[in-house]
Formats: sequence, C-alpha cells, structure tokens
Amino acid sequence: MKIIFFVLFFMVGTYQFALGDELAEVEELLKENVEKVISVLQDKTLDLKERNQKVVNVINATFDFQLMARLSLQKKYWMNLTEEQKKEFTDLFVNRLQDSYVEKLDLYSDEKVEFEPPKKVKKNIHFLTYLVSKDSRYSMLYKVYQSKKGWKVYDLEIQGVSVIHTFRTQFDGVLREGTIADLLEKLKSHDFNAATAKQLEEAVN
Amino acid sequence: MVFWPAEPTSFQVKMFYFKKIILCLWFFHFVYVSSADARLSLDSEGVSSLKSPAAFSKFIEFQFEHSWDHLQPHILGLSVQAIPTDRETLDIPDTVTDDEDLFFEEEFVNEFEKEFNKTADSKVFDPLSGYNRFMTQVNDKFYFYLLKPIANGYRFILPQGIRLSVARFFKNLLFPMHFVNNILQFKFKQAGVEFARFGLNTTIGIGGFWDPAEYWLDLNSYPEDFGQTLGYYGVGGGFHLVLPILGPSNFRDLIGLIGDMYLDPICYVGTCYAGHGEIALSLRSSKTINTTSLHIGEYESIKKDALDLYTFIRDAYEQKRKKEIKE
Repeated sequence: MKIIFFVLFFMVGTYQFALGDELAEVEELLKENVEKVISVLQDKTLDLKERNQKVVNVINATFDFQLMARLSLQKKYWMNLTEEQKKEFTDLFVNRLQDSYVEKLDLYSDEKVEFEPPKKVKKNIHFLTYLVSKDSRYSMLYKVYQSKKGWKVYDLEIQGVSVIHTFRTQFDGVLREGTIADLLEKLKSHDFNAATAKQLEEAVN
Repeated sequence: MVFWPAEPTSFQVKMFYFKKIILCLWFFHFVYVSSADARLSLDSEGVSSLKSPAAFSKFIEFQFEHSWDHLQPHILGLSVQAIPTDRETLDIPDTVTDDEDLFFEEEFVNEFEKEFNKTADSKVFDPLSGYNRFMTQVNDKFYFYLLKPIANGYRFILPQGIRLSVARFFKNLLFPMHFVNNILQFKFKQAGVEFARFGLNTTIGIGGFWDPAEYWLDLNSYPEDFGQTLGYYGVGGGFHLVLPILGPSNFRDLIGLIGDMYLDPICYVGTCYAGHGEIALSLRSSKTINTTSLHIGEYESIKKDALDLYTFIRDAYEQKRKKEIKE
C-alpha cells in the first residue's frame, strides 16, 4: 500500500513538475519570438524587404500554418477535396496568412507587449498577452500545441476573436452557396495590394 | 452679451480671477502633458535630460522635424503606393506542400475540430442579413468618403499628444457607465478601480486630459456597458443588427445602448432628450473624429483580411461580445 502511495505521489509530483516545465518552455519560446519581431520592427536601419523577410522567418517558426489551413475548413468540406485541391488550398491559405501578417506590421507604432502566465487547457497551452498602444489595450491569446517539431501556435484570438473561427465561418458561407473551385478562385483573385490601391483611389476622387 | 453683472460683489470678482488662474494652470498642464509623449520618444533617441539649454533646443528642433512623422503620404491619399510584400523577392517557399507530413491524421485533427465546433455551436441569428449587408456598405462608404478625410485633416492639424489627451478626456466621461454596470454585475473590485480612476484623473489628471491612474498606479479601466450587464443576467444576443454609423450590434446591445445613454454625461450637457441636440452632436462627432484619427489604417486592414466583409465583421463582433460578457 505504501509503495502505491509512494508511486502515486511520485507520479503526481513529476507530472506537475513536467507541467511547470512545459509552461515555462512555451512562455520562453513565445516571449523570445515576440521580442524578436519587435526588435526587428524597431530597427530603423532595415529596409522594408529585409524587415519583412526577418519577420516571416520568425513567424514561420512559431505558427503551424498547415494545421491552421486544415482547421480553417470544416471537416465535412475537407473530406470532399481531392489531394490536389487540398494542396492548392493549403498553399493559398498559408500565403494569405503570411501576407496579412506582414501587412499588419505597417500599423506598428511603438506598441508594447505584456505577458500573462500561460495556462494549460487540456493538452494545449493558452498564452495570453496584451498589445498595449498609447490609447488602447488589445488582448492576444496564443493557442499552442505540441507538434512533432516542438510547440507551435495553431490559433490566435485577438480581443476574443479567433482567427481560425472567422475563417471557418467565412469559408462556410462561400461553400454553402458555391463550390470549392469558387473558394479557391476567391482566395487567388484576392489581391491585397490591388484592393488597397483601388480604395485609396476611390477615397481621393 | 452679458459679460459682467451690473454690480459685481467682491465674491464674484474673486471667482472671476480664480477661474482665470485655473484656466491658465489647465492650459499649461495641457501643453506639458501633450508634449510628454514627444519627450519620451526623445529620451529613447539618446538625449537623457532636458535640463541643459542645449538639450532643450535639440528637443525643440526634434519636435519641429518629427512631429509630422506619422503622416505617411499613402494614408493621406497624396500618392497611391502599394505596400510591397514581394513574395518573389522574399525567401519564402511558394509551396508548403512539399513537406512529407503535410496532411494530418484525422484522429489528431478531430480534437481541434471539436474545440472549434464548440465555439461555433451557437450560430449567429441573422434574419435581417439583407438590410445588414446594405448597412455595412453604407457605413463603409461613410468611413471612406466622410469620416476618414475629416479625421485625416484633424490629424494633420493636431499633434498626437493632444489627440491622445482628448481621447483620455472622453474616456474619463464614461465613468458613470462603467461604474454602474460593474456594480450591477457585482464586480465591486472593478467598480472600486473605476471610482479611483475617475477621482484621480478628474482632479490630478485635470478633467481627465491626463491619466495618472494608469501611468502611476497601473490602474487599467474595466469597461462594462449595459449590453454586457444584460448578457451577465443571461439575456441572449437576439438578432444581429448593423446600426447606421455606429456599426455592428444586436438586439440586446441596442437596448444596452439606450440604457447607457442615461449614464452618458455628454447627453446631459447637450440635452439629447429635449430636442436641442446640437452640443451633444458636436461633442459626439468630435469624439468619433478624434478616435478615428488615432486608428486610421485599422479598418482598412480588417477589410483587406476579410473574404466577405459583412460575415467577418458580424462574426468578430459576436465573438468579441461573448468574450466580454464571460469575463
């Protein structure tokens, strides 16, 4: 009996130890990456291309874009895709996410990031941070899971709005009325820069 | 114009000068506070103090050269420049699918699926989608053709420090709303923080133009509105509704908005209820313009991200409210 208690105690102990370890690991990893991005942004000597390149390198290592692509499409739709379509969709989606992240960098103006202690939610870890600007404070929740290549972010909640969730509803809306070809076409044709330029032109005239 | 009573009593004369002095103090404080941000950024440039005359003149020079830094030509619409993302020149592999383990095992993905299905289980109730879509377009046009050009002009005239002060002033006025709704939700600690913030910021922060509660004591605001209070007591969102100018909302939050009007000082200053709404209207529009001037580029960025703007905004709004109520 004593031995069982001992074993149980020992197991619980190591489990908690491992848990603390995991949390610390994730915290350190994300903090490091966030700080990397910020230091790149604050470095005024870099030109735009270098800056974007560096940031993309960091986020590629932090986010699991492929899983994000898979999750942004509901299972019932994903099952009906051919292998080729799956590939095409993943590529388009990943490109889009990267572009939109890089494009956001232009809005950066000396915001600071505050970190809360990370929390274990089932198998995954949720890491709450705040983006503090001069007049507002946005919450950013990173959801991290353990992949084969270490801890990776699979979703980001900005002010409680999940990126994956918004894509799921939007894709659902498109696919309910159209086919996967329509969706791919939409993802392809959607050119950020062309859209901005057009808008600016509209605003000027 | 009656500027002076026929025979001023000594008390009235004293009050007259007292008011002048307070006004002057306020003005100087205002200038001081609004230049604080610039001074902070100067410090980060390497000038550690402004005590010596040389440092001061450098500060003035810096102010002069850099106060309009934030005005980028493409935001002002002076020249249309596409922001280069340059996929070709960047070292990003164009296809990610060459990886051998691209597709995940179904069992593994199912767990994540469950998570997202759970958050999605309460679908947004949207019987007015036709009208809502139309109103989203109207608001979009309103932003690009009216609000944004005005906010840009305003931004051109006033430096950021002053605009931030104005934003703090309007935020301070939201105190009655935050306080009462925190109490109604039994969040007494948060209500206490709001009370302390209001007390400090109105006195030491001179009418709320400065925020000592946050700068010195790290007391952040806990914004709660009546819509959240209703949600706290279990009232569901009802149908989604896009309001003219104000943007996305739903039935519950519309009721909340009306409730909040009774706790809004701006309404009492300008008599929202009694017909003469000009003052309230002008105060409200300056608030909107000021806020917009501090956030130009954000809506554009959201719009670019969205595959379908209306669905995106609606979904984001409902998720955000759900989270705010849960907290």
